[in-house]
Amino acid sequence: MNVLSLALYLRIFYAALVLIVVSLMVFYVRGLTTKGETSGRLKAVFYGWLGFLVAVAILFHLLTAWQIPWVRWEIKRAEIVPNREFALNAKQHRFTLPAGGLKVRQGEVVKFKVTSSDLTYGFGVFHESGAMEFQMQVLPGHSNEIIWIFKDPGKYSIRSTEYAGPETEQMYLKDSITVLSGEEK
Amino acid sequence: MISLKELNPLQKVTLRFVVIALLFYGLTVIEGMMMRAVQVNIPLLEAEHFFAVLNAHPIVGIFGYSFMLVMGAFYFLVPTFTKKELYSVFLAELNWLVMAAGTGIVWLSSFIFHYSALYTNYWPLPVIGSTGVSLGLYALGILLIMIGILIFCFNLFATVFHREPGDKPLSTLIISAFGLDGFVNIFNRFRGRPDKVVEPDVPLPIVAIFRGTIDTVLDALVLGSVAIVFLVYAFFKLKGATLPTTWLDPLIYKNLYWWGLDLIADGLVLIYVAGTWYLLAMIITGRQIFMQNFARAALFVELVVSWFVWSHHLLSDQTQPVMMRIFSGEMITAFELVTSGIAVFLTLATLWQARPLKMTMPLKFLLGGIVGFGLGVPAGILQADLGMNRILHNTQWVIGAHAHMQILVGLSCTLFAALYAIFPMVTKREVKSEFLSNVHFWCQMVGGIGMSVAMGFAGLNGMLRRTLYMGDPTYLQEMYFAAFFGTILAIGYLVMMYNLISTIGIPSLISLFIRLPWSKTQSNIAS
Repeated sequence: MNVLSLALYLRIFYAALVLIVVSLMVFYVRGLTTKGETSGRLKAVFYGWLGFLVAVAILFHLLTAWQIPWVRWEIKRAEIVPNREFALNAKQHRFTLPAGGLKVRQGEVVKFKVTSSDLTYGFGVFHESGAMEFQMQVLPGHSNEIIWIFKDPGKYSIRSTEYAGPETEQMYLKDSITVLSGEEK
Repeated sequence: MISLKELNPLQKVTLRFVVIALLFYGLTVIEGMMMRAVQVNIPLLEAEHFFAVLNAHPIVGIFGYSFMLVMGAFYFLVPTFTKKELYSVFLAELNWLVMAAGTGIVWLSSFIFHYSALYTNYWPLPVIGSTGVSLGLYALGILLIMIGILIFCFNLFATVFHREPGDKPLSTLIISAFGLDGFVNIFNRFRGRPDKVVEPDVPLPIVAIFRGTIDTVLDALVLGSVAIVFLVYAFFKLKGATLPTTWLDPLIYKNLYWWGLDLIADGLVLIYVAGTWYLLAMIITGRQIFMQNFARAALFVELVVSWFVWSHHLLSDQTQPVMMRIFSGEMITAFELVTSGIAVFLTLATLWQARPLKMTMPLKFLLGGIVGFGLGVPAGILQADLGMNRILHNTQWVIGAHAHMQILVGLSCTLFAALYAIFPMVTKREVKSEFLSNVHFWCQMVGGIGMSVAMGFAGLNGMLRRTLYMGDPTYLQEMYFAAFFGTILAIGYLVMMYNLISTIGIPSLISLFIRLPWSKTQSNIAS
């Protein structure tokens, strides 16, 4: 699964959630204002609801761990050997990129190592459409690392995803990452 | 119009809390709409001013509006429900003054002196990115708010645990206040034995209030301590000296700070709300809460859960240990879905057993509040996942689909349900226009849900929170929708205020705070 398809599933899920919750409440209110017998099975319904909630709470994380590849990349980060490694620094609301820029090939394992010399920033990578590819926090005094594999070729922009004062606005580097397709030279 | 002479000191102090809270809510609405204008590319505020407004917005909204409305309602409801006198009306009076002063000072530090490290205050931004005056004022304001919260908690504890000669021992009251009697009863039923505690010593809503208050105390201690650190740095800044920022590690600070800050979400938003739902359901139906042993036990479980969930705010911090992120940030956090789901079910089931019910304003807002949490809690659980957080953290999803949905629809509707329920008890008058109350309800629901959903979709499209996109049209469509629904919300606020002010009467409203020259004759004006 890639980021764009996950975002699409989330949009569908969220639209469905809003419609279902509002519709259930309308349905409930109709019943609440009319006379009727209360089912003797209300306790059983409660236990069923409780079981459903516990199942959702557990299965949701198991499902994402199984289906979303970057969960595994994160858990095994220390063991993964990257094809390419980039070191970036953030200081006084500016990113310093490595000499030679950021050029990677689709499907390569890339490690981004981002440090901060002053404040807490964020490191976010965005598609040309504005959709987020990934992000992480950048804490001063720590080495902030992430493993990523770009599935889609194209130009990507970098933006600080953490507020570090009004000047954070200038921490935007348009089209600063180039991801080449498998065949491209 | 209401005659203040008819009101006792408890009713007056409750009304003072309500009035100040609603004025702060109005300020939050104005701030929100100012920022909405900027987000649809109307250059109303420059960056520095925008972020100063963004700094004040949650503090005024959470502490000035939500906390003060909760405090006012609980100061009235706890003594009424426990059939005890409030421990100290004087402390309650001092309480609203301290809270209002603290919130006002924070607002000044932002609006006038441009303190803008935002409520997250990530180290070392507060001490590097602000002047000594703005930092000092902000810290002073926060410290006053936290003192106000501690006064409130002390006053409530002292009221709940006050005993007359012949009353049950304190230990019994404490066990009941923690909801442990619910556990004992459930355990007995599994063993086929009758309930040990048939008539609980502390009513269920009070258990929730007591339980929420524990988290609120801890939250006040953490945020108050941080404010003291800020005050020290501000003092040296004003003297022209610069203290090193390396005294604190940003990651440890972030863990401590979020541990305290997150307790607002659990202590205030989830638990106080659950308590208010139970209370309203009991008032509306005249019944005990359905399966109340489970409700009592769940409140105790939530006490433990809430202390171990803070890591969901650090899922994108690569230096935070992975196991901590998985257990605290994902797994334990997911159980908030269970505990809040229990509160939703038991409230709805209690109401269902008493049907048919007339759709009064408190009932409408109560159900609206449940819808808000029905949408906001799953959104929160969704983002508290290692995989999802990678594309949702710090986006408009977090602040829209989760936070604003819970605060504007979930929490606010619950608070308005309590407001419409206690208003006649406090003022001995019905709210003047039911039509306007209905307009308020629909504006709150449509505006709140619409705005939060629009922000949620903007987040799913990659729009960040706490970020300006002036001149960038990428997320403009979602922001137009958010501004439209935000306007509906603002109309709802104005309608509610008109309705309440015309019920109370402007002279009575002013007399609540200032002695008017003609106040001696005012008692004769009562209608």
